Amino acid sequence: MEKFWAFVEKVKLLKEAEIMADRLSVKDVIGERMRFLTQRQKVIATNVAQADTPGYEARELDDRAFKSLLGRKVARLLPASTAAGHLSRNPLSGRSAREQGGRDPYEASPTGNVVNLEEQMIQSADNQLNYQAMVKLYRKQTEMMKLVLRR
Amino acid sequence: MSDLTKSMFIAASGMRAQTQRLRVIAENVANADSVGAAPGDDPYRRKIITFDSVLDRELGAEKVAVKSIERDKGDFKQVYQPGHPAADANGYVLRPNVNTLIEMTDMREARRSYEANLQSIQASKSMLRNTLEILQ
Repeated sequence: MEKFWAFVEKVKLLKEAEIMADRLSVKDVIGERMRFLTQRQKVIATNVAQADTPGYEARELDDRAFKSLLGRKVARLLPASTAAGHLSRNPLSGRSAREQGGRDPYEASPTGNVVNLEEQMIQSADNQLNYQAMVKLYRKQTEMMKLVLRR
Repeated sequence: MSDLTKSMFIAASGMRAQTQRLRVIAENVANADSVGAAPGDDPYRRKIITFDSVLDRELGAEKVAVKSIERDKGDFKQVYQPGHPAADANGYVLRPNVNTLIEMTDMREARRSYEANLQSIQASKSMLRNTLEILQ
């Protein structure tokens, strides 16, 4: 019986921690960021693969989509609209990441190809680092949950 | 299929294209001295490879494919070699329009692109491995 109550206590604590985590929604943001980074990796891989295709222009992922997620979290705090003409939502929210042409191409080959391999490599490295950071952050978050369970 | 797996397939298509480019370069270099056997015979004509981006509907991404392998329309070189079996009435022999220097430069470029694709595969792989680390 004692064991049972200890278990209930643990479940309660876990629930509380979950609610807290939900409020912070760190995991949401991490997940979204990881999704964004994987998508970006795909775009970089495409650019690298097409580095010798005539007429191909390097693409980039619009990171406003990720910012919009942060915007969505803020939107909760925005006042509700009670009359027409009120600002009801964040204008940035609800966008999905989309590909767009790279900005300001400063090097184009005679065939019309605009892919700078070095730039793509830097972006790829940056991407990996960010991703690793997100994974570490996620693990830390999970460790916090485990800390609660260990009690 | 996740974007990381897709990016590996895309990079693999880029590597395949670069391999074919290397093959064409090797053909050109190997045939740099292939002249005709009789007067009036054309020597080896240099090959040029071009790439194109192709949408793979199954993958939902753009891959690289070889568009065409064509012949270089450039003029042949003429060398004065009256004793050669392929020499014309004036003693000139037509030689292939292959410039080994250009081929070597092209080869370096192909290698660089191949390595870049390999790097992007490794990047995707390490990101996937990082994800799996969460499970540990």
